[in-house]
Amino acid sequence: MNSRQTWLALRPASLACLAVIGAALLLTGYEQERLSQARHQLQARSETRIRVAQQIEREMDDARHLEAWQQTFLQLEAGGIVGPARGQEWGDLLHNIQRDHDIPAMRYEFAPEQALYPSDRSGYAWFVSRLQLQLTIHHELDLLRSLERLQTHARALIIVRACKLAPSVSKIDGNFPRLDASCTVDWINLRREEQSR
Amino acid sequence: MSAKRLLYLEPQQMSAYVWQGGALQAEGCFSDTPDGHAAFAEYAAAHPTSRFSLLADIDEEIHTTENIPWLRGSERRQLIARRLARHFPEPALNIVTSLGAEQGQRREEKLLFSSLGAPTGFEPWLKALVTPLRGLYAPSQLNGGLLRRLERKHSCCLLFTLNGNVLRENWMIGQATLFSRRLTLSDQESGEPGATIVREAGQLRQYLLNQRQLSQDKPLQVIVIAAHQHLQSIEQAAAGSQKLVFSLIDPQLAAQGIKLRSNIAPLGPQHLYLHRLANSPPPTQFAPTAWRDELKPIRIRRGLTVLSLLTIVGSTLWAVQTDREIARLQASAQQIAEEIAALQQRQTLAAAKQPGPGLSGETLKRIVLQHAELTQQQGLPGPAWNMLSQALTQVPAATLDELDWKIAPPETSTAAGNRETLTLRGSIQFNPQQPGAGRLAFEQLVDHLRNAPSRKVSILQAPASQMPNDGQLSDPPPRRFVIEITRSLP
Repeated sequence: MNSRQTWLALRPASLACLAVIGAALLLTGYEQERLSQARHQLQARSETRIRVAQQIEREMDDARHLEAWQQTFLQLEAGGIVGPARGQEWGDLLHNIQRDHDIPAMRYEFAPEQALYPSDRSGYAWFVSRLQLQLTIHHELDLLRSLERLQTHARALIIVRACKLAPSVSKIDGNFPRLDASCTVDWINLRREEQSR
Repeated sequence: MSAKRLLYLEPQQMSAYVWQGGALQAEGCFSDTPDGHAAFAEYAAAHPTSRFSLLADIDEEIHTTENIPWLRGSERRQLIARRLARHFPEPALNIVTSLGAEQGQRREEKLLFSSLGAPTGFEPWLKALVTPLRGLYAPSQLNGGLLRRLERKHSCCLLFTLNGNVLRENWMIGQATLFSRRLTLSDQESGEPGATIVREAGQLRQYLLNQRQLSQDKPLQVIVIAAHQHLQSIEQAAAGSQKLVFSLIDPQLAAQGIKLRSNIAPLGPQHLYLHRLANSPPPTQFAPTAWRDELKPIRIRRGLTVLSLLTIVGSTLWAVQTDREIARLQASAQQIAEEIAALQQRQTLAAAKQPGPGLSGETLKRIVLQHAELTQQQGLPGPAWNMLSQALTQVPAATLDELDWKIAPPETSTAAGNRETLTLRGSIQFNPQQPGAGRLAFEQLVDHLRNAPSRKVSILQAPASQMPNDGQLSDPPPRRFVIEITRSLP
């Protein structure tokens, strides 16, 4: 049997074998592609899960912060820091302090209020009313107690910027030495910008 | 799977058998005539996928041994080819079997040259085959395996097989048959073959003695395989033999011993040979390559079939395994997708649950940060005045004229904390009786002030610059000084 006859005899089997191998290659290629897609899908979903979990963690963290900020805001509201300038109320408080601490003389003047920070158009802003307070006191403790009372009772955020203390040049009551005190006190309130005057 | 078919060729006829499922079945007998050849061709054509093995029990079988130098590789092949051509100069069906090494003066290899004679006698039969011949064998090749299977141990023996009126005589050393002869008995001899077998055994023993292949005093074992009806005749004839030890085998009983199943009756020694041929064909065979060339396509086709099957099985198994892996991955992906959906639902709920006074988070954050910043600026002059009061208590000569306390935010955004500044204006009362006491008092005051933690003391105006001579005036004026005390608030 020569090679041509051999090839003719083997041709059907060879073609069938090639067909089988080809089909097997196609099958394995198809399965490999599916496997690859499944792996990519799993990888993508795993990454998505991590991303979503991190995002939720961030949002929950933000929510915790937001809750704390809201609590602070509510405390400011309760303390009267949120709201308009209350000139009459503050004046009453100063008179009460003068009366309660037996301060011989008191003069005060509020400057026009000003925005404390540049506006960022978020709706709320801090405003300051600067108070020039002049007192004649018996003892420097009277001044300290008065300032402490302002900080704890005023319906505003009180910042004492400066205080000058010197022996009094005038003697209202000649029996006791007096002190003249001059203080600069910021009365700060938070309110909506449209409430500004 | 195609059946294995066995052909048993004798000088006058060809017998055909099929070996299937461990059973030997006769399928036909064809005479060595044109009609017989035609009938055999029909038979072979009816089994186009069968593989035929041919066992040739013919007269022309020749064996001879020869020692050659111990060689290997091409030299050995060339030497064997030359010796084969010398022993069988005519074209013949030959094989060479190595009987192992022999150590004489030099190391040699003992070879058994076997021939079935000219191929012309086989051609009428082979032409009829439509499939290639698996192999051509002689009974002598099967003797060793048959005796081993029958558990007949021997170092050397004579093996006689009686098939009808044909007696085959074999001389064996170990597993190798060194001599084999086919003898046709006369009708009278075949009726009572005992005397003939004993006589032939005696003559063969004498021949082997003359050839110095046997020792004189050693009895020779003779194994006879013959039909049951002849065993008594052989036993009687062998009774007087002194130097020959006969061992008789009934083929029917032997077939049971080797578990040969067949519908043939009675069974002869040739059927035992065919059983061995079917189960354990010899490693060498007589058919030339040309007769077996046709095997190549069959082997290749079989190889292709096996390859195809392996490919199908392998790819199927791989696909199944891959499918499982894909299913596992998809299940994991689905589980993760469900987890993502649950997380997103939780995210939506959390977002919906966020309370608020109508302010955005950013605005709230800004307000709180600014409030904290402002709160840090909340300070009172009390601590600074206390510190100063303690220092003045230690230095009675110092008197206070004016206190100026300020608190200011840092000048730059990167500076740390608010800055508290206390400016102290005072005077030192000097005693003329104690020159230098005023300077000492001022220094004590400064030291006391500097002892206060976290404060920086700067002398803006010292009283010494106004005191050129303390002792010249009886009531000198108080000496003024200005001190600045600063502190960074947290």
